[in-house]
Order: sequence, then C-alpha cells, then structure tokens
Amino acid sequence: MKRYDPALYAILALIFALSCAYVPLAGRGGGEMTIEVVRDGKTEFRAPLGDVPEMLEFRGPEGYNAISSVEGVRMVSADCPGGDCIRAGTIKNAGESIICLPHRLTVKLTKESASEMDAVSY
Amino acid sequence: MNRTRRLVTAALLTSSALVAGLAESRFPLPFPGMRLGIANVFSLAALVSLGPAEAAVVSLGRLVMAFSLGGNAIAFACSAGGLALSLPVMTALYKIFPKSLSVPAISVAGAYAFNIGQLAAIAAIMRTHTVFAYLPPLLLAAAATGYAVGRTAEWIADRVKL
Repeated sequence: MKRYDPALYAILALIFALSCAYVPLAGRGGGEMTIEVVRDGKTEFRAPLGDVPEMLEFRGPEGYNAISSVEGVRMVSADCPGGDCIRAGTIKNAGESIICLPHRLTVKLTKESASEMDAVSY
Repeated sequence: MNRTRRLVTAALLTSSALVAGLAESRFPLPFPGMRLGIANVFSLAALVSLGPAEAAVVSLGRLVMAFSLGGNAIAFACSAGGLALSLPVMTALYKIFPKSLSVPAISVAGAYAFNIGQLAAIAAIMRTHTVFAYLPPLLLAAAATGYAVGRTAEWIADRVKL
C-alpha cells in the first residue's frame, strides 16, 4: 500500500456507488411494471408484465430468443453461441435489463407509462 | 536495457498475454462480461518494466492477434472499447504518480476503466444505455481480479527481472 492508494481506492468506491444508482434512476416512473423488448434501438414489443404470456418468443435476422416472465423475467433459450443472456439470470426490478449482444436484443423492465414515453418520443 | 532486449521482452510478454487470454476464454465466469483478466498481467508487467509504449503494444498486439486467431467481432469491439479507456487510465496514473501508487491499485483502476469502456462499446452497438445496469457486479468482481492481476504483474516484473 503506497501513499495515494487509499485516495484512489476511495475514488473507485465512489464510482462503484454511482454505478449502483443506475438501476433505481433508470427504473423511475409512475406506471405499472412493463416489459419492453428492443432490437437494434427499435421497440419490438411492449406490454404490462401482468398481461404477457408466460413465454415470449422473438425471431430476428440474427436469431431466436425465448423469454419467460414467471416470477421475474429471464432468457430461457437463445440460439447464439455464447449464451450470455441466459447466464444473466432473472431480472425483477424496473431499470434492469438482459442483453443479447449477438442478436442486438435488449429485454428491459420499466415503470415508464405510455404517456411518459410519448413525452420523450414526440 | 538495450533495444534488442526490450524488443524481445515486449514480444515475449505479448505472446504470453495472447496464450493466457485464449486459455482464460475456455473458463467463462458465471456473469456475462466477467473476466479474470489474466492477459492484463503481461500488459501491466510491460508498463512497469518497459514503459507505456510497450504496454500499449502488448495490449493492442494481443487484441488484434486474439481476433485473427478466431475471436469474434463483438468480443473484439468490447475489448477495444475497454482498452480505449483502461490503457490511458493506467498509463496516466503510472506516469503521474510513479512513487505514490502501487501496481495493484493502478491495476484495479485499469480494471474499472476496462469494464466501463466495454459497456460503453456495447451501449453504442445496442443503441441503448440499459446495459450499464450490469456495471455493479462487474465492478465488484473487477476490484478482486484487478488486485490479484496487479500483484501478479508486480511479482513477475520483480522476480523475472524483465
């Protein structure tokens, strides 16, 4: 341990604390819990979590993904070689997301209501 | 250290980094994007025993060669994004505070920078910033792996008398 080490570690701890604030900030909103599936920057599917079937399937130019929405949202199947999205596990809080990088697919939970979305989009 | 010795040492560290990185990719950690970062041992050893230019050569040389030996484009983009941030951070810390920062501390800072740069690259590819939700577990792991990598690099630079 050298003289400035504690200062550097303190800065890094601060960066870690800031990173923990991301999900609560991104998850703000007054609407009900909604699942949104975005491919390549475009929203492909959006519905309240309570209204979606237990299994959702998405086919895109790069491949196939299956999402389960029983007790949280998780990727159950994907035909990518890595399987990173499956290993990402279950998400439950607004602001969290699952990324399928090879298929450029993002599954996210949000509490932004449709009117808040419109305010952003238009 | 003469020119030839520097060149040979940098080449040796690059090839070691390449092999370590390939070996590591066979053992994925449980969370996506989480890496032990063993290849960075050799970049750091190059930084402390040779200098910033050689550290950049080891990192970037390893990146390009790993890609040409069958890496995929996405992994390449992620690593490039990570290095774009971690190399300047580690080099700057090492140059500005050579006596008052330890190698493990610089390594942890580099690991943090790498993870942030990697997620920035993914955010650019995916056109969404939601990927930053992955940051806390990645940074937590980076603190441990970065420290271990830094200690190992220090030990290698010291014992092997590069």
